Amino acid sequence: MSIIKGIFIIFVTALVSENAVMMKGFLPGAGGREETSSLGNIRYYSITMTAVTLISSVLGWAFNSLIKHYAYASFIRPVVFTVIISLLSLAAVFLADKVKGWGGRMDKNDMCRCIFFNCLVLGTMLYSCEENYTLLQTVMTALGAGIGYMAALLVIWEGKRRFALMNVPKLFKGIPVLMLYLGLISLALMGFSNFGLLH
Amino acid sequence: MPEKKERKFPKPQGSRVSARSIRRLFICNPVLYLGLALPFAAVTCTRLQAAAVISIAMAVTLIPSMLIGSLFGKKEPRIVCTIVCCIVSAVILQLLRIYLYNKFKSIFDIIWIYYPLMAVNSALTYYSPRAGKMTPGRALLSSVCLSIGFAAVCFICAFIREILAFGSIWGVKVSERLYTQGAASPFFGFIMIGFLAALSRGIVRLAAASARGRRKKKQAGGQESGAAAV
Repeated sequence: MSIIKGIFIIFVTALVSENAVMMKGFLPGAGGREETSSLGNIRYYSITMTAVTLISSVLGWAFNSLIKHYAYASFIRPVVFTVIISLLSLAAVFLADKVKGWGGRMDKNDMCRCIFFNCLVLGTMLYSCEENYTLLQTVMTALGAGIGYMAALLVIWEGKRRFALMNVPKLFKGIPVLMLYLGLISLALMGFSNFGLLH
Repeated sequence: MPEKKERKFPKPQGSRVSARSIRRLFICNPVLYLGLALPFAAVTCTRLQAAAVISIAMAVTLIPSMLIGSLFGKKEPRIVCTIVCCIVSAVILQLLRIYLYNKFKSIFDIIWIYYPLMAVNSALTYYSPRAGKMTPGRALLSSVCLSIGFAAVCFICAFIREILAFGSIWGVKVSERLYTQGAASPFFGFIMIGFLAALSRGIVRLAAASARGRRKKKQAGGQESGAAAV
Protein backbone atom coordinates (compact mmCIF):
# COMPACT_ATOMS: atom_id res chain seq x y z
CA MET A 1 0.00 0.00 0.00
CA SER A 2 2.81 2.38 0.87
CA ILE A 3 4.48 1.59 -2.47
CA ILE A 4 1.31 2.49 -4.35
CA LYS A 5 0.98 5.66 -2.27
CA GLY A 6 4.60 6.61 -2.97
CA ILE A 7 4.20 6.04 -6.70
CA PHE A 8 0.96 8.04 -6.77
CA ILE A 9 2.68 10.94 -4.97
CA ILE A 10 5.53 10.87 -7.54
CA PHE A 11 2.97 10.91 -10.39
CA VAL A 12 1.02 13.85 -8.94
CA THR A 13 4.25 15.72 -8.13
CA ALA A 14 5.47 15.36 -11.73
CA LEU A 15 2.02 16.44 -12.96
CA VAL A 16 1.42 19.48 -10.75
CA SER A 17 3.99 20.80 -8.29
CA GLU A 18 6.96 19.89 -10.50
CA ASN A 19 5.13 20.54 -13.77
CA ALA A 20 7.61 20.45 -16.62
CA VAL A 21 6.39 23.66 -18.27
CA MET A 22 5.16 25.85 -15.41
CA MET A 23 7.69 24.99 -12.72
CA LYS A 24 10.75 23.79 -14.63
CA GLY A 25 10.23 26.03 -17.66
CA PHE A 26 10.49 23.26 -20.29
CA LEU A 27 8.46 25.37 -22.67
CA PRO A 28 8.23 24.31 -26.30
CA GLY A 29 10.40 26.37 -28.61
CA ALA A 30 9.16 29.72 -29.96
CA GLY A 31 6.46 29.86 -27.26
CA GLY A 32 4.86 26.67 -28.54
CA ARG A 33 3.76 28.34 -31.75
CA GLU A 34 3.55 25.12 -33.76
CA GLU A 35 2.58 22.80 -30.93
CA THR A 36 -0.35 24.95 -29.80
CA SER A 37 -1.59 26.08 -33.21
CA SER A 38 -4.59 23.73 -32.98
CA LEU A 39 -6.11 21.10 -30.72
CA GLY A 40 -5.15 18.43 -33.26
CA ASN A 41 -1.49 19.49 -33.05
CA ILE A 42 -1.67 19.46 -29.24
CA ARG A 43 -3.04 15.91 -29.39
CA TYR A 44 -0.27 14.70 -31.78
CA TYR A 45 2.55 16.38 -29.92
CA SER A 46 1.48 15.55 -26.37
CA ILE A 47 0.62 11.86 -26.97
CA THR A 48 3.78 11.29 -29.00
CA MET A 49 5.91 13.22 -26.53
CA THR A 50 4.54 11.24 -23.58
CA ALA A 51 5.34 7.98 -25.37
CA VAL A 52 8.84 9.21 -26.29
CA THR A 53 9.49 10.42 -22.73
CA LEU A 54 8.36 7.05 -21.36
CA ILE A 55 10.49 4.96 -23.73
CA SER A 56 13.57 7.13 -23.39
CA SER A 57 13.26 7.29 -19.59
CA VAL A 58 13.14 3.48 -19.38
CA LEU A 59 16.17 3.17 -21.67
CA GLY A 60 17.96 5.86 -19.66
CA TRP A 61 17.19 4.07 -16.41
CA ALA A 62 18.55 0.81 -17.85
CA PHE A 63 21.80 2.48 -18.96
CA ASN A 64 22.16 4.38 -15.69
CA SER A 65 21.80 1.18 -13.63
CA LEU A 66 24.88 -0.15 -15.49
CA ILE A 67 27.14 2.87 -15.00
CA LYS A 68 25.94 4.65 -11.85
CA HIS A 69 28.71 3.20 -9.67
CA TYR A 70 31.50 4.55 -11.88
CA ALA A 71 33.29 7.80 -11.04
CA TYR A 72 32.66 9.53 -14.39
CA ALA A 73 29.00 8.50 -14.67
CA SER A 74 27.73 12.09 -14.36
CA PHE A 75 29.88 13.12 -17.35
CA ILE A 76 29.00 10.18 -19.59
CA ARG A 77 25.29 10.12 -18.79
CA PRO A 78 24.14 13.26 -20.70
CA VAL A 79 26.12 12.32 -23.82
CA VAL A 80 24.78 8.76 -23.92
CA PHE A 81 21.24 9.96 -23.22
CA THR A 82 21.53 12.35 -26.18
CA VAL A 83 22.69 9.45 -28.37
CA ILE A 84 19.71 7.35 -27.18
CA ILE A 85 17.32 10.17 -28.07
CA SER A 86 19.01 10.57 -31.47
CA LEU A 87 18.64 6.87 -32.29
CA LEU A 88 14.97 6.95 -31.25
CA SER A 89 14.39 10.00 -33.45
CA LEU A 90 15.98 8.30 -36.47
CA ALA A 91 13.77 5.27 -35.89
CA ALA A 92 10.74 7.56 -35.64
CA VAL A 93 11.57 9.35 -38.92
CA PHE A 94 11.79 6.02 -40.75
CA LEU A 95 8.60 4.69 -39.13
CA ALA A 96 6.66 7.94 -39.62
CA ASP A 97 6.13 7.29 -43.31
CA LYS A 98 4.75 3.83 -42.55
CA VAL A 99 2.09 5.04 -40.09
CA LYS A 100 -0.79 6.46 -42.16
CA GLY A 101 -2.07 9.85 -41.07
CA TRP A 102 0.53 10.37 -38.32
CA GLY A 103 1.25 14.06 -37.99
CA GLY A 104 -1.25 15.14 -40.60
CA ARG A 105 0.28 17.64 -43.02
CA MET A 106 3.20 18.55 -40.77
CA ASP A 107 6.72 17.92 -41.98
CA LYS A 108 7.94 14.67 -40.37
CA ASN A 109 11.53 15.93 -39.92
CA ASP A 110 10.40 19.10 -38.13
CA MET A 111 7.93 17.18 -36.01
CA CYS A 112 10.53 14.63 -34.89
CA ARG A 113 12.96 17.44 -34.18
CA CYS A 114 10.41 19.19 -31.92
CA ILE A 115 9.33 15.99 -30.18
CA PHE A 116 12.69 14.36 -29.49
CA PHE A 117 15.10 17.26 -29.09
CA ASN A 118 13.55 19.27 -26.33
CA CYS A 119 14.17 19.78 -22.64
CA LEU A 120 11.25 17.59 -21.50
CA VAL A 121 12.60 14.27 -22.81
CA LEU A 122 16.24 14.70 -21.78
CA GLY A 123 15.25 16.56 -18.60
CA THR A 124 12.97 13.73 -17.40
CA MET A 125 15.71 11.17 -18.08
CA LEU A 126 18.30 13.17 -16.13
CA TYR A 127 15.87 14.00 -13.31
CA SER A 128 14.96 10.33 -12.75
CA CYS A 129 18.65 9.37 -12.63
CA GLU A 130 19.59 12.23 -10.29
CA GLU A 131 16.81 11.21 -7.87
CA ASN A 132 17.90 7.53 -8.04
CA TYR A 133 14.41 6.32 -8.91
CA THR A 134 13.46 2.68 -9.40
CA LEU A 135 12.01 1.56 -12.74
CA LEU A 136 8.42 1.99 -11.57
CA GLN A 137 9.12 5.46 -10.17
CA THR A 138 10.83 6.41 -13.44
CA VAL A 139 7.81 5.26 -15.45
CA MET A 140 5.40 7.24 -13.25
CA THR A 141 7.61 10.34 -13.46
CA ALA A 142 7.68 10.09 -17.24
CA LEU A 143 3.91 9.61 -17.43
CA GLY A 144 3.29 12.50 -15.04
CA ALA A 145 5.68 14.75 -16.99
CA GLY A 146 4.03 13.87 -20.32
CA ILE A 147 0.49 14.38 -19.06
CA GLY A 148 1.54 17.59 -17.28
CA TYR A 149 3.06 18.78 -20.55
CA MET A 150 -0.22 18.11 -22.36
CA ALA A 151 -2.14 20.00 -19.68
CA ALA A 152 0.30 22.92 -19.98
CA LEU A 153 -0.10 22.99 -23.80
CA LEU A 154 -3.89 23.12 -23.36
CA VAL A 155 -3.53 25.98 -20.88
CA ILE A 156 -1.25 27.86 -23.31
CA TRP A 157 -3.64 27.22 -26.22
CA GLU A 158 -6.62 28.52 -24.24
CA GLY A 159 -4.61 31.56 -23.12
CA LYS A 160 -3.59 32.39 -26.69
CA ARG A 161 -7.18 31.97 -27.87
CA ARG A 162 -8.45 34.41 -25.23
CA PHE A 163 -5.67 36.94 -25.85
CA ALA A 164 -6.57 36.95 -29.56
CA LEU A 165 -10.07 38.11 -28.60
CA MET A 166 -8.91 40.71 -26.07
CA ASN A 167 -7.54 44.17 -26.68
CA VAL A 168 -3.92 43.47 -25.64
CA PRO A 169 -1.58 46.52 -25.90
CA LYS A 170 0.69 46.35 -28.98
CA LEU A 171 3.89 46.11 -26.95
CA PHE A 172 2.59 43.09 -25.04
CA LYS A 173 1.16 41.10 -27.96
CA GLY A 174 2.65 37.63 -28.47
CA ILE A 175 5.56 36.51 -26.26
CA PRO A 176 5.30 39.24 -23.53
CA VAL A 177 1.68 38.57 -22.57
CA LEU A 178 2.25 34.80 -22.82
CA MET A 179 5.15 35.07 -20.37
CA LEU A 180 3.08 37.11 -17.91
CA TYR A 181 0.28 34.54 -18.20
CA LEU A 182 2.66 31.61 -17.62
CA GLY A 183 4.24 33.43 -14.69
CA LEU A 184 0.89 33.85 -12.97
CA ILE A 185 -0.06 30.19 -13.53
CA SER A 186 3.36 29.14 -12.22
CA LEU A 187 2.75 31.30 -9.13
CA ALA A 188 -0.61 29.55 -8.62
CA LEU A 189 1.00 26.09 -8.92
CA MET A 190 3.61 27.09 -6.36
CA GLY A 191 0.82 26.86 -3.82
CA PHE A 192 1.11 23.07 -4.14
CA SER A 193 4.75 23.19 -3.08
CA ASN A 194 5.23 24.45 0.46
CA PHE A 195 7.13 27.57 -0.57
CA GLY A 196 7.15 30.90 1.20
CA LEU A 197 7.55 33.99 -0.95
CA LEU A 198 8.48 36.43 1.79
CA HIS A 199 10.94 36.24 4.67
CA MET B 1 0.16 46.78 -58.79
CA PRO B 2 -0.11 46.16 -55.00
CA GLU B 3 1.16 48.94 -52.72
CA LYS B 4 4.50 48.41 -51.03
CA LYS B 5 4.16 47.71 -47.30
CA GLU B 6 6.11 50.07 -45.08
CA ARG B 7 9.06 48.30 -43.45
CA LYS B 8 8.57 47.50 -39.78
CA PHE B 9 12.25 47.91 -38.99
CA PRO B 10 14.75 50.22 -40.72
CA LYS B 11 16.59 48.63 -43.63
CA PRO B 12 20.15 47.72 -42.54
CA GLN B 13 22.71 50.15 -43.89
CA GLY B 14 26.26 49.29 -44.88
CA SER B 15 27.38 45.72 -45.44
CA ARG B 16 24.35 43.39 -45.63
CA VAL B 17 26.09 40.57 -43.77
CA SER B 18 27.18 42.57 -40.72
CA ALA B 19 24.00 44.69 -40.53
CA ARG B 20 21.74 41.64 -40.67
CA SER B 21 23.76 39.91 -37.99
CA ILE B 22 23.75 42.99 -35.77
CA ARG B 23 19.95 43.13 -36.13
CA ARG B 24 19.93 39.64 -34.59
CA LEU B 25 21.66 41.13 -31.58
CA PHE B 26 18.94 43.65 -30.79
CA ILE B 27 15.85 42.93 -32.85
CA CYS B 28 15.80 39.16 -33.26
CA ASN B 29 16.88 38.32 -29.70
CA PRO B 30 16.27 34.57 -29.31
CA VAL B 31 14.70 34.91 -25.86
CA LEU B 32 12.72 38.14 -26.10
CA TYR B 33 11.39 37.84 -29.65
CA LEU B 34 11.17 34.13 -30.34
CA GLY B 35 10.80 32.70 -26.84
CA LEU B 36 13.72 30.31 -27.32
CA ALA B 37 15.90 28.87 -24.52
CA LEU B 38 13.37 30.13 -21.95
CA PRO B 39 14.07 27.63 -19.13
CA PHE B 40 17.69 28.78 -18.98
CA ALA B 41 16.90 32.50 -18.95
CA ALA B 42 13.80 32.34 -16.74
CA VAL B 43 14.54 29.54 -14.27
CA THR B 44 18.31 29.19 -13.84
CA CYS B 45 19.47 32.81 -14.01
CA THR B 46 18.95 33.67 -10.36
CA ARG B 47 22.58 34.66 -9.79
CA LEU B 48 25.14 36.46 -11.96
CA GLN B 49 27.54 33.53 -11.70
CA ALA B 50 24.80 31.18 -12.96
CA ALA B 51 24.11 33.58 -15.83
CA ALA B 52 27.81 33.54 -16.71
CA VAL B 53 27.94 29.73 -16.80
CA ILE B 54 24.73 29.47 -18.83
CA SER B 55 25.88 32.15 -21.29
CA ILE B 56 29.22 30.39 -21.82
CA ALA B 57 27.34 27.10 -22.31
CA MET B 58 25.05 28.73 -24.89
CA ALA B 59 28.01 30.16 -26.81
CA VAL B 60 29.94 26.87 -26.92
CA THR B 61 26.84 24.99 -28.13
CA LEU B 62 25.26 27.49 -30.52
CA ILE B 63 28.38 28.62 -32.40
CA PRO B 64 29.61 25.13 -33.40
CA SER B 65 26.03 24.01 -34.11
CA MET B 66 25.35 26.83 -36.55
CA LEU B 67 28.72 26.22 -38.22
CA ILE B 68 27.84 22.53 -38.58
CA GLY B 69 24.42 23.54 -39.90
CA SER B 70 25.97 25.81 -42.53
CA LEU B 71 28.30 22.99 -43.63
CA PHE B 72 25.36 20.58 -43.85
CA GLY B 73 23.59 22.99 -46.17
CA LYS B 74 20.20 21.88 -47.41
CA LYS B 75 20.96 18.16 -47.41
CA GLU B 76 18.13 15.83 -46.43
CA PRO B 77 17.12 14.40 -43.99
CA ARG B 78 17.44 17.60 -41.95
CA ILE B 79 17.10 15.78 -38.67
CA VAL B 80 20.62 14.37 -39.15
CA CYS B 81 21.97 17.93 -38.83
CA THR B 82 20.10 18.37 -35.53
CA ILE B 83 21.36 14.99 -34.26
CA VAL B 84 25.00 15.82 -35.04
CA CYS B 85 24.68 19.29 -33.48
CA CYS B 86 23.11 17.94 -30.26
CA ILE B 87 25.68 15.16 -29.80
CA VAL B 88 28.60 17.52 -30.48
CA SER B 89 27.11 20.06 -28.04
CA ALA B 90 26.67 17.41 -25.34
CA VAL B 91 30.32 16.37 -25.66
CA ILE B 92 31.57 19.98 -25.61
CA LEU B 93 29.44 20.80 -22.55
CA GLN B 94 30.83 17.89 -20.53
CA LEU B 95 34.43 18.76 -21.52
CA LEU B 96 33.78 22.39 -20.50
CA ARG B 97 32.25 21.25 -17.23
CA ILE B 98 35.53 19.61 -16.22
CA TYR B 99 37.18 23.06 -16.50
CA LEU B 100 34.36 25.15 -15.00
CA TYR B 101 33.39 22.83 -12.13
CA ASN B 102 36.24 23.84 -9.82
CA LYS B 103 35.58 27.57 -10.32
CA PHE B 104 31.78 27.45 -10.02
CA LYS B 105 31.12 24.37 -7.88
CA SER B 106 28.22 25.85 -5.89
CA ILE B 107 26.66 27.21 -9.08
CA PHE B 108 26.62 23.78 -10.70
CA ASP B 109 24.68 22.51 -7.68
CA ILE B 110 22.13 25.28 -8.29
CA ILE B 111 21.97 24.88 -12.08
CA TRP B 112 21.65 21.08 -11.62
CA ILE B 113 20.22 19.36 -14.72
CA TYR B 114 19.84 22.58 -16.73
CA TYR B 115 23.52 22.60 -17.72
CA PRO B 116 23.45 19.31 -19.69
CA LEU B 117 20.06 20.34 -21.10
CA MET B 118 21.82 23.10 -23.06
CA ALA B 119 22.70 20.35 -25.56
CA VAL B 120 19.04 20.26 -26.69
CA ASN B 121 18.06 23.88 -26.06
CA SER B 122 15.46 25.26 -28.45
CA ALA B 123 17.74 28.01 -29.80
CA LEU B 124 20.16 25.34 -31.03
CA THR B 125 17.46 23.15 -32.59
CA TYR B 126 15.80 26.21 -34.16
CA TYR B 127 18.85 27.91 -35.69
CA SER B 128 21.14 25.01 -36.65
CA PRO B 129 18.90 23.67 -39.50
CA ARG B 130 18.27 27.25 -40.66
CA ALA B 131 22.02 27.88 -40.83
CA GLY B 132 22.02 25.61 -43.90
CA LYS B 133 21.07 28.67 -45.96
CA MET B 134 24.06 30.69 -44.68
CA THR B 135 27.72 30.71 -45.55
CA PRO B 136 30.03 29.60 -42.69
CA GLY B 137 31.18 33.19 -42.15
CA ARG B 138 27.64 34.54 -41.83
CA ALA B 139 26.66 31.58 -39.59
CA LEU B 140 29.62 32.35 -37.30
CA LEU B 141 28.75 36.05 -37.06
CA SER B 142 25.05 35.35 -36.51
CA SER B 143 25.75 32.77 -33.82
CA VAL B 144 28.09 35.14 -31.97
CA CYS B 145 25.46 37.91 -32.08
CA LEU B 146 22.72 35.54 -30.90
CA SER B 147 24.92 34.35 -28.04
CA ILE B 148 25.64 37.95 -26.99
CA GLY B 149 21.92 38.76 -27.12
CA PHE B 150 21.09 35.71 -24.99
CA ALA B 151 23.83 36.60 -22.49
CA ALA B 152 22.53 40.16 -22.20
CA VAL B 153 19.05 38.92 -21.22
CA CYS B 154 20.50 36.40 -18.76
CA PHE B 155 22.71 38.96 -17.05
CA ILE B 156 19.93 41.54 -16.73
CA CYS B 157 17.54 38.95 -15.22
CA ALA B 158 20.24 37.53 -12.95
CA PHE B 159 21.34 40.96 -11.69
CA ILE B 160 17.84 42.01 -10.66
CA ARG B 161 16.92 38.62 -9.19
CA GLU B 162 20.14 38.23 -7.23
CA ILE B 163 19.71 41.63 -5.60
CA LEU B 164 16.05 41.02 -4.77
CA ALA B 165 16.36 37.36 -3.72
CA PHE B 166 19.73 37.30 -1.96
CA GLY B 167 20.79 40.93 -1.55
CA SER B 168 24.10 40.25 -3.31
CA ILE B 169 25.96 40.96 -6.57
CA TRP B 170 28.21 38.16 -7.89
CA GLY B 171 27.98 36.47 -4.49
CA VAL B 172 29.07 39.60 -2.56
CA LYS B 173 26.44 40.72 -0.03
CA VAL B 174 25.41 44.36 -0.64
CA SER B 175 22.06 44.69 1.09
CA GLU B 176 20.35 43.22 4.12
CA ARG B 177 16.84 44.55 3.77
CA LEU B 178 15.47 44.54 0.27
CA TYR B 179 15.09 40.87 -0.58
CA THR B 180 12.42 38.24 -1.07
CA GLN B 181 13.01 34.59 -1.93
CA GLY B 182 10.16 34.69 -4.43
CA ALA B 183 12.46 36.52 -6.86
CA ALA B 184 14.41 33.27 -7.29
CA SER B 185 11.27 31.34 -8.31
CA PRO B 186 10.38 30.43 -11.92
CA PHE B 187 7.28 32.64 -11.97
CA PHE B 188 9.39 35.75 -11.34
CA GLY B 189 11.64 34.82 -14.26
CA PHE B 190 8.67 34.42 -16.61
CA ILE B 191 7.14 37.73 -15.57
CA MET B 192 10.48 39.53 -15.85
CA ILE B 193 11.10 38.20 -19.35
CA GLY B 194 7.58 39.27 -20.34
CA PHE B 195 8.30 42.84 -19.26
CA LEU B 196 11.78 42.81 -20.81
CA ALA B 197 10.31 41.64 -24.12
CA ALA B 198 7.73 44.43 -24.06
CA LEU B 199 10.41 46.99 -23.15
CA SER B 200 12.70 45.86 -25.98
CA ARG B 201 9.83 46.09 -28.45
CA GLY B 202 9.10 49.61 -27.27
CA ILE B 203 12.74 50.61 -27.76
CA VAL B 204 12.88 49.07 -31.24
CA ARG B 205 9.62 50.80 -32.26
CA LEU B 206 10.96 54.15 -31.04
CA ALA B 207 14.18 53.61 -33.00
CA ALA B 208 12.20 52.62 -36.13
CA ALA B 209 9.92 55.64 -35.80
CA SER B 210 12.86 58.04 -35.44
CA ALA B 211 14.64 56.43 -38.42
CA ARG B 212 11.45 56.83 -40.50
CA GLY B 213 11.18 60.46 -39.43
CA ARG B 214 14.82 61.13 -40.40
CA ARG B 215 14.29 59.45 -43.82
CA LYS B 216 11.18 61.53 -44.51
CA LYS B 217 13.01 64.73 -43.60
CA LYS B 218 15.85 63.77 -45.93
CA GLN B 219 13.41 63.06 -48.76
CA ALA B 220 11.52 66.31 -48.12
CA GLY B 221 14.83 68.21 -48.05
CA GLY B 222 15.87 66.58 -51.34
CA GLN B 223 12.55 67.49 -53.04
CA GLU B 224 12.77 71.11 -51.85
CA SER B 225 16.32 71.54 -53.19
CA GLY B 226 15.22 69.93 -56.51
CA ALA B 227 12.26 72.32 -56.78
CA ALA B 228 14.53 75.28 -55.93
CA ALA B 229 17.00 74.24 -58.68
CA VAL B 230 14.13 74.12 -61.24
